[in-house]
Amino acid sequence: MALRERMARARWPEANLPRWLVALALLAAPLAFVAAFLVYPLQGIVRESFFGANGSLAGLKPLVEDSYFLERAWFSLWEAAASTVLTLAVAMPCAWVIARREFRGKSLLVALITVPFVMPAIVVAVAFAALLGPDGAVNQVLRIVPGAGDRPVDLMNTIWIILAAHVFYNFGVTARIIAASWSGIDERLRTPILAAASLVFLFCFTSFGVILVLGGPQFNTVETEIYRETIFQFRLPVAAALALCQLLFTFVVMWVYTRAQQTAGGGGIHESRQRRTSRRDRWTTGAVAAAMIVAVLAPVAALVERSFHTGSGYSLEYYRLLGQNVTNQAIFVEPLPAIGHSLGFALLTIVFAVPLGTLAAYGSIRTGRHSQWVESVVLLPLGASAVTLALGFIVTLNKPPLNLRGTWWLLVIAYTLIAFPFVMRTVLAQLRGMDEHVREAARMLGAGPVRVFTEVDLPLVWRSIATGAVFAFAIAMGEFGATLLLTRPEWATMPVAIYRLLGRPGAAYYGQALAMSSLLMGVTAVAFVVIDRLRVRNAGVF
Amino acid sequence: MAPGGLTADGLRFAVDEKVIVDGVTLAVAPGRTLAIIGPSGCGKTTLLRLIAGIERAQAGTLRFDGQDLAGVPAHRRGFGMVFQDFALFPHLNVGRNVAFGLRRRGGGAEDDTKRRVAELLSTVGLEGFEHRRVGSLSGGEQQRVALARALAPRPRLLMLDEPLGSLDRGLREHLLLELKEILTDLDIPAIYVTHDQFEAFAIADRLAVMRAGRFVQEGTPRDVYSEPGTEFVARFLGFENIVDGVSDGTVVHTAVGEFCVRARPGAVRLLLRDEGVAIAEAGETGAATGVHSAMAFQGSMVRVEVATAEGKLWFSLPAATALPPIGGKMAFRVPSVQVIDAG
Repeated sequence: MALRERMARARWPEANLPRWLVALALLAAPLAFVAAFLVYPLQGIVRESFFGANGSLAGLKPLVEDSYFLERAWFSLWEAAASTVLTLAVAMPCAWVIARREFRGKSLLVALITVPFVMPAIVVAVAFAALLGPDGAVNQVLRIVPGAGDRPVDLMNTIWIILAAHVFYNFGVTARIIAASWSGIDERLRTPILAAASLVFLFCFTSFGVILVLGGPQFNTVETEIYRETIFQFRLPVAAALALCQLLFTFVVMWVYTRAQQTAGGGGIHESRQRRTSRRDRWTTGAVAAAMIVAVLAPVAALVERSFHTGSGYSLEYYRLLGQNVTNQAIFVEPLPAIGHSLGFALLTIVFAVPLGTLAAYGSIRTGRHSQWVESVVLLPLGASAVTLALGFIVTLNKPPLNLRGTWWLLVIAYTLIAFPFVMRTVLAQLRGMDEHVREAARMLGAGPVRVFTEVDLPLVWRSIATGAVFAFAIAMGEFGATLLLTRPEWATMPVAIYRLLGRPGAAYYGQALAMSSLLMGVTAVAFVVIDRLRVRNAGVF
Repeated sequence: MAPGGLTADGLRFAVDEKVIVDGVTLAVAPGRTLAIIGPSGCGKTTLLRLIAGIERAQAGTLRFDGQDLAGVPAHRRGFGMVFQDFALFPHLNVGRNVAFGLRRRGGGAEDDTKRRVAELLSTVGLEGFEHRRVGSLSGGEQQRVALARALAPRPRLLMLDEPLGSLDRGLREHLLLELKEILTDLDIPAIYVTHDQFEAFAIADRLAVMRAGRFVQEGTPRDVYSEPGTEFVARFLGFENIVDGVSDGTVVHTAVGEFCVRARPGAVRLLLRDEGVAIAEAGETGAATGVHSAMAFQGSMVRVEVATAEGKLWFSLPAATALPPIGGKMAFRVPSVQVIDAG
């Protein structure tokens, strides 16, 4: 008897392990990953800004002494604030329509206005250049008007095009967040608006691709300044100090967001409470819905149209050029291999982010009431801007114990770090909604841990895991900020290739940038459709 | 213990400092049903989970058919469980839900499985439901599927955790009788957890009343009902007429009247039972006296509320009984009076 018992125990250790030990075993990999590739690099940034280069406060001193940095901080703040206010102004009528009106195709419209949010920043930037730039679609149309001149509208390198891109980026998702609380019984709107506003503010404050591409050299935020200090000035301590200040500030805003979200509640769109509709209401609803569609489709359509528009009418010329290496300069980025790099890195990101995110979700749920705590640790990477993460890699992962200098693993790690919290969130949402008794019922029917996982968990969770995987893929495909700091010409990705093409004179290069942006947008759009098909009910947007 | 029976000795389970199951000892023989009743939070569900092997007891032993279950994980115990929320697999249809436990390593033939599933569905009155989606079933149907699923692998023991708790009253009474029939046919030990004493009375061979992790009274349903040992058990079983008094050995003096009942001299607590209650003369020994304060017609009986110095008492009388008007003085002869412990 004793022997039999001991054998049973040895065979099924899970049954006898304390729960916290199981949780810890599951969380070991995700926590180690966060420690090695987030905490350790951030520690490097702190060290660099205090003790970098020639010693005491090398990074922080210039920030105080040179008013240039104060101006950067001031510009970042008011640019983000203005973007937030404008976004809210646009989002409110949309939220009203989503929350209060019922019409055919509404769910499609709601999905459509979320699309910009998942588009890569570089694609948004290029799309706005294609819409509002000197040779943009708007000018093409206005040229028909007699006496309008050759370039009636040229918003390139102005604050207006930056603001427009930021509003485009954020208004849909903001409208959804507000609408979700608005359609509830409770009509208090202050907290959801505060939650949405702090989120938008954060995105715009750390916006990188849009500022870099649309703003040109004269518009520098803290985020782009970190990049410039790192790559062009090579003043790492100063870059680190900037990153540190930005990080502290974003954590304060994130804290506000978390607090506001706790009171704002969940994210799903509920059945709307519709009052009797008058004809005027119907007209307003129609007008707002039409405006939303135009707002989303105009830049997208402009990008695609411009990408086919060559000097001699419409053709596939720019797409064809992507296949050729039209330059023999060694430093130049070849477009076609960039597509291969992006796909390869994105697939690798799935390989790492999905297991890490799934483990984190399972570990988190096993910790019971400490689940919230674990979740916030895993979500930390989302609090640091992409450029900050990359800078942290540059200052710490270039020497033992973790020497990855000059390897593309840095990119995959950065993508995984940004992507796996999303995987965790989607899986965790599913697990939280799952009845623990269902799993126990399977055990009572003789299913061991393996069979419980394959026959009960997987069928119920695979959708959320797949959703997380597509998220991870899309994030890796579109990531720009961290990539630009860490990349090398040999393994440039699509966003980097787009940026490089934009920086070269000549219509052919510009056309290729448009073509490649269209391709990247297409990939993201497909990913989004897949996510939407897979969407787990009540999983929420964030 | 007879072969094929379950015994537990001193089972204890605590989370952090909070003791949830506090030294429970029990025995269930094959073909017998033990009902455990108690208020929510008394530890009855946790006790089931300990027996199931889902939770692990920190102390005590659990044996089935003489074999110690300490090292045997839940999926190796061969016990069946019906959960209160049914916990059906939402991604499987009815047939596959029931067949889940039939597919062990090696597995039986496809036809055998099919036949067994059909047989069980017919036992629970759901012939032909194999291909229905679980989500399309009513609560009562889901309950039946849960039962069929638990019975399919021929468990050595069956546990039911408030299996009727989420159903409405009429359905509950109907299913209760069916369940009793099925349990009687099975010839395995069964443990039935509920907070409803009528369910427990109907289904149990033995009844245990649980409070704060302990069994406070155990016996046949009839014994427990006719002699509740403590005020807690009495009140849980639905008795409300409990009064304080002082005993002189043969007579207990209370604020509502005097009752001939043997008790140790000193302060005692009395349970005045409903059985055989009739109108009496005021002041008569063995009668409770008070003011008629309310009345509710209940068909063949009327329920009369009497305000006394000890608070309100309730008695059921035949509907034809002539009653004084509301506010009038009245007395009840209470033939069945018991001394109970406080607690």
